[in-house]
Amino acid sequence: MDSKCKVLYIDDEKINLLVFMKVMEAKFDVLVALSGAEGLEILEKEPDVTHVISDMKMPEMSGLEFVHEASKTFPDKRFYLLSGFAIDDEIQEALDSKLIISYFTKPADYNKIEKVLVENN
Amino acid sequence: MDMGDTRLPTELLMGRLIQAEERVAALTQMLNSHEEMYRNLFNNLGDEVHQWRLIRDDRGAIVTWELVDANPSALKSWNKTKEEVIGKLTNEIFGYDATAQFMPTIRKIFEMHESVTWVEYFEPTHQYLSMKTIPMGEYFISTGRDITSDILAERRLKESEQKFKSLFKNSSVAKILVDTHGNYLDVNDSACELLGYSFEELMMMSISQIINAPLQSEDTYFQRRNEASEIEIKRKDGEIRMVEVFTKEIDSNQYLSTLIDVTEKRKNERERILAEEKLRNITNSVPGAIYQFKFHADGSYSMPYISERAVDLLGFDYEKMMDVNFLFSRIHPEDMERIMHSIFEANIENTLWSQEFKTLNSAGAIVWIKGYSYSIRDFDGGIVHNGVFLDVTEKKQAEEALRVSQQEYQNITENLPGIVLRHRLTAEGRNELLFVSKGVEDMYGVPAEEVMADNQLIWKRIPQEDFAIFMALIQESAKKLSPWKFEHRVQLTDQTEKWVLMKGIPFEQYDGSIIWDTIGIDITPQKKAEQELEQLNKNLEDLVQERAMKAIKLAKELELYWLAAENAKSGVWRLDMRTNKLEWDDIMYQLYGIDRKDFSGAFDAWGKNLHPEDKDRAINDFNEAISKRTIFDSLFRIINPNTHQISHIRAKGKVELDEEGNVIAVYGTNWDVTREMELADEREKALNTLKETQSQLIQSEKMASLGVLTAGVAHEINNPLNYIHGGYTAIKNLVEEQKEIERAELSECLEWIKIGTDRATQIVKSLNLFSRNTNSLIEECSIHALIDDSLLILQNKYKGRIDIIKKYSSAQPLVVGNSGRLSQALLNLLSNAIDAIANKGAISIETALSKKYIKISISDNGCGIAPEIIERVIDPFFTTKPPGKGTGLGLYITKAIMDEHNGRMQITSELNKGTLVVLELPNKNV
Repeated sequence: MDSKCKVLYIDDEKINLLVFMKVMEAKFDVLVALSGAEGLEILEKEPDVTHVISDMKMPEMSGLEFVHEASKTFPDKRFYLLSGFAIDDEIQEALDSKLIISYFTKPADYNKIEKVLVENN
Repeated sequence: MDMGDTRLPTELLMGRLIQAEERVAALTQMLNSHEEMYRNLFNNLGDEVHQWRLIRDDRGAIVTWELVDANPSALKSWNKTKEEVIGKLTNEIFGYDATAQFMPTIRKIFEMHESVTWVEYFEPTHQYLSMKTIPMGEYFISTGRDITSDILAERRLKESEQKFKSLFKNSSVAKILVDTHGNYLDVNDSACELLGYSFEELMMMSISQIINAPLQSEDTYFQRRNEASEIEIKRKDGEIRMVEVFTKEIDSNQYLSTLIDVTEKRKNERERILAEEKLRNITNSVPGAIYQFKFHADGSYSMPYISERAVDLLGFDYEKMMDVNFLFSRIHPEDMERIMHSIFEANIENTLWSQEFKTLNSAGAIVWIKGYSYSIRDFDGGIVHNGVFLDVTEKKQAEEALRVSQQEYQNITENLPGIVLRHRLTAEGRNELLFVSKGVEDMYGVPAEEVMADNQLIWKRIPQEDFAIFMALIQESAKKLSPWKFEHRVQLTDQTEKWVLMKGIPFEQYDGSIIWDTIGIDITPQKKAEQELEQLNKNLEDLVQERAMKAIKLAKELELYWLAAENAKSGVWRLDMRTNKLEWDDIMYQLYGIDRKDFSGAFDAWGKNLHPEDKDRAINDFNEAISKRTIFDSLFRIINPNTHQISHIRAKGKVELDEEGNVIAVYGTNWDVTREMELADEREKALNTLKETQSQLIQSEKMASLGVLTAGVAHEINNPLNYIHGGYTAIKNLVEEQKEIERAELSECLEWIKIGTDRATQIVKSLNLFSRNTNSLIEECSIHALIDDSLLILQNKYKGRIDIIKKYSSAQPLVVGNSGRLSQALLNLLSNAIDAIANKGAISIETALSKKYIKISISDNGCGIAPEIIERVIDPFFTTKPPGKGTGLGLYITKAIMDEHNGRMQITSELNKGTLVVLELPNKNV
């Protein structure tokens, strides 16, 4: 039996993390972080994380800033954004440059997320 | 022995026997009577008598003794019955070791076989006893007499004698003991000292030798015994002393005298009397009454002293003035309570008492008294006021007269037209206003009270250049002490101007300052008349000049006129009223597009060419000018009969009158204003377009804030939606994948949904405020709620980078107005503050309530506004944001919202430091 692939989810709202874990833990091995900085620490410690999903609007470091930062050290990870905002120029650019694979909107469609993650596994 | 004798007669023997028996009987009888006597004596004797039997040990030594008998006196003294004591040992009887006490005496009497008499204290009965004990074989008899009282009396006598001796000897008061002849029996040390003689010397003398004869004799010395008398004595050294003598007969022929030296006392008394006399003389030479008034500790009061000059005060005799109650009764009823109160207060405070009060004199007239006193606490707990009463009636009357005259002065000044003022120039050059009459309000538009508080209020009303003259005049007046006069203008707040003439007279004061008494009167009407007259004169001159110039000009102008008229395409016309003939020049025909030959020259012919819509109006204008003899001035359209082209014509005309004032002709010009009209039209259109654009922009600003709003709201609402949707998804998964659902798990998911719903509801609620589209200004708006809602919407713009510091007032600020619009104003300001902070910073929001206003201060530490543009930030379309980012209407709209709420907005800013916006809105409670 395949071991579940490891997903890191970052959001500054705790309930979002709880919800994500509850819904996704059946399919994935879910790790969570409350900020970009915490996310970077986890990536250091957990080399077998394959997918990284981040919220966009966060204090200190935005989701996109985090992805920019993390992709420098971990270029092989697959990054995604999950946000309540509509896509703007910046995000479009990130999508175009393949910095992020997909941009999910809140409220999250977990089936879709699951599907996309599996496709990009 | 002779046998023969034995036969001697029996008779003789019998006789002898009988004799013996008789003698025995007699002796027995004697014995019996003795026995009875003894018994009687024993029983009735006042002295105690008791008989004791010795008890001896084996060797015959006396151990103790037991009672054989005791008489009633003894029993009484021992407080026992006979049965209790007979046959008992002595120690048993007294419960006391009497054996030990008396053993030496008992042994002595039995050794010596003699009775002994002695005195001894017997403790069990507390008695001093005079005892006699008699030995009788193995018995002894004791008698005892109670001498206790005798002994105690003797002892007391001895003690009192000793006491007397000691008292006499040691007394600090001189005491002498003399016999009836006046010879000294004894004297004490104090007496020796007083009289200046030694004890031995005095013992050789008699009393008469020391009495200062012949003033007092020896007789008086004795006559006055048992009562004190005063005598003069002559000491050994010749000094005379005053002595108080008290003599008492203490024994027959013995007199005890006590001598007290009162020389000093008498001397002091004499001095005191002299001092009092002196004081009386002094106090009587002082105007007013000097008094001493005393409050006793028991609450009563008295006046131990009042000087005789008191009679001057109220016209009552001295007897009456000494009566303190009478004095109180003369205090005027109006002042009574105040005075009594002040006296009691001075009692408590122990301070200087000083009061002025009215009293009534003997004639019933008012006398003003000023009283001063200083109170001190007496040694016996009372309070003593030493003071003086002065008649201050004259001073009071003068004060009253002054007060009345000041009041009159004030009344006059208040009722005078104009103002009266008094001001001072101090030595340091400071201007002080000392008085200004009420007229200042009429003249300068400022109430007198305010002027008194701040004299700048009137100087500010005087134009700068006039004020400069005033200062110069004042300086000159101060220098020369000459009266000054000054005409100046006054600019009132309603923009009207007044002329005021001030005249003042200076007085130099002792301290170097100068006081002016000044009056000011309104001379505006005179001034105006003057100015008009001046203008009129000037006009007249100008008119003459003008006329001359005109005459010269006219000829030239006429020529030029035609030239100009032709060039300006101005047609000239003239209507002769008498012939109704209308004359046109060539240009008129050109303007109207008709040939001269086609024109009838009648007035009606003109009307035919007018545009039907303008015809009536133009003709009406013309007729009106004629009837009113005014200038004809009209604007109308004409239609070219050939081309049907429409032209706009401006017509002007003047009526020409004959001597009687009848209109004889009207003449004037016509010119084509079609071009101008078209331009005006275009301008109006352009203006309309502009207005429309402007309102569109205002709308777009609303849309922009709506944009800010939706962007924020979308994010804010998507998070709670994510909880709800997540919760739903999780529950769905549970339901589909597990047979049994754990309660805790389900409840967790439901909790997310609940939190999400609550948050979304809150956001939608705050949004309602902005979407509300009402123009009413009657809602009650809570400023704190509006700020909080605005912050919620803007959260995504500042969260994580800007600290919001709220300093809300404790009381709830409420404003009546339109909550939607107020929210928009606050949103704009907060949004600006957030935008001003490029990275990290803080925004402080402070609210404060005053009686009338609610103050909201929003400050940021952002980029600030440059001083050269701060004036323009409220202008519509002014923006510093990059193109497309701001409409430049935010502050303009905010200002408009503040205006419609009767509020104010003030912006202060410093470049690179931050901006502070202060809003003031009327408090709802007003």
